[in-house]
Amino acid sequence: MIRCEALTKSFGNNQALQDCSFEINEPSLTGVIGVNGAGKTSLFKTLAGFIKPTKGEAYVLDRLPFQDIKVAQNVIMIEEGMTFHPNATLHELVDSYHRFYGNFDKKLAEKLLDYFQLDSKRPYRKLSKGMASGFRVALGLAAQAPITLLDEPNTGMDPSLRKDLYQIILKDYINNPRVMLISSHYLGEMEQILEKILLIHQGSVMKHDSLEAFQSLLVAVQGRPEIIHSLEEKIPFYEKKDYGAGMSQIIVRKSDLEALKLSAEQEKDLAVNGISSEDCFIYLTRRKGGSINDIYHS
Amino acid sequence: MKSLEGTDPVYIQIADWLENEILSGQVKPQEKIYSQYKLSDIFGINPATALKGLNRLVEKGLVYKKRGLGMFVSDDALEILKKERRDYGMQTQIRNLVEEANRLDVSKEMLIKMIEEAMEKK
Repeated sequence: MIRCEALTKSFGNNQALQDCSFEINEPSLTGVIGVNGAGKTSLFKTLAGFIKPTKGEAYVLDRLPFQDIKVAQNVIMIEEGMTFHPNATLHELVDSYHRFYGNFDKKLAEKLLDYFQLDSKRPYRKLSKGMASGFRVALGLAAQAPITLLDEPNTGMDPSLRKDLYQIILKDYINNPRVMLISSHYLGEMEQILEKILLIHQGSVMKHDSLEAFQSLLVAVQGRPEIIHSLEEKIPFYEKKDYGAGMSQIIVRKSDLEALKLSAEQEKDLAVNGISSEDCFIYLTRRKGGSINDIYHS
Repeated sequence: MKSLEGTDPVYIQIADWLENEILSGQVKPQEKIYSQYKLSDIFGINPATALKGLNRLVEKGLVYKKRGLGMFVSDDALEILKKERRDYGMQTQIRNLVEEANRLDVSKEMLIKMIEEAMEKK
């Protein structure tokens, strides 16, 4: 349904996407994660046919999406920057989407508008940031499009609504399983509802896998400082912490640790623990060089 | 919606929860166990994750699939679960208990006496 082959997009000197390759062939709820500016929105816009690849290709429903009407009818993308007619009321916008998307569920749109406490007679431009996000989600879900792209759907929402929103998305997905991509730069709050993760880093796909596989990429290794120190010299590590009192911890790739083939005797001195998927995400995408300590070092 | 708070992967937590439902008799042998979508709804998790949890029970022989009808608790589910927990879960707890006893200078005799007392109180 979606296939990207070495997809590259540049805006002037800025490389938004670089050799992005991945494939999604069956319904799934996939979290597209990456730090700000990683290329998530550019990827969505390419899939939705709003922008044209500079190099490589994206195929959506086996077609090239750029300005393709068949793709447009089967793909919905919502994002903060989407533009509507300036004076159109929510009611009018729902109607126009209803006319365009064949599967549009108007009842659902009305229920969602109710849930977000949106008055359908109001114009979109009068909505607060959080309310506007709610309205876009209502459109994005009600369209029931085979390919649904939700770019940072909870921007500006209250904390309680942010959490509820993911449950709404999940319920909608269970009701009609389809290809759904949700982007966020915060994995922790949505991981429960996801099947897969697509990690975009510096314009490329760093990882496309199940949540469990993603989470088990990195492990925390604890032990006495001299033992941890000897490990540090053998394999790359993402972070090191000294807890004093004879205990240190480093974050390493599980595969690197396994490649060392430690003896049972050596393993006895180490405690190896999993870390949260959010932490995995943070370590894998952390900016190189410079730590907080360097800024405030007296 | 029920919330999950452990540090294990979600599908493991789902499998553990289902096992406890069987052990406590909430779901009995030959009864239908929660479907993938029911679990997904109860816990607010992805259906694929729920299925992974269910499949762990299939692998252990705790539940079996009936074509087109769903998954059912097998006759020997309770026996399998009890044996597994005796062999693995209790052994781990006993090891921890013995380690703690050593740290606190509790002798073998004292520890056995404490266990006996606890069992009598029950």
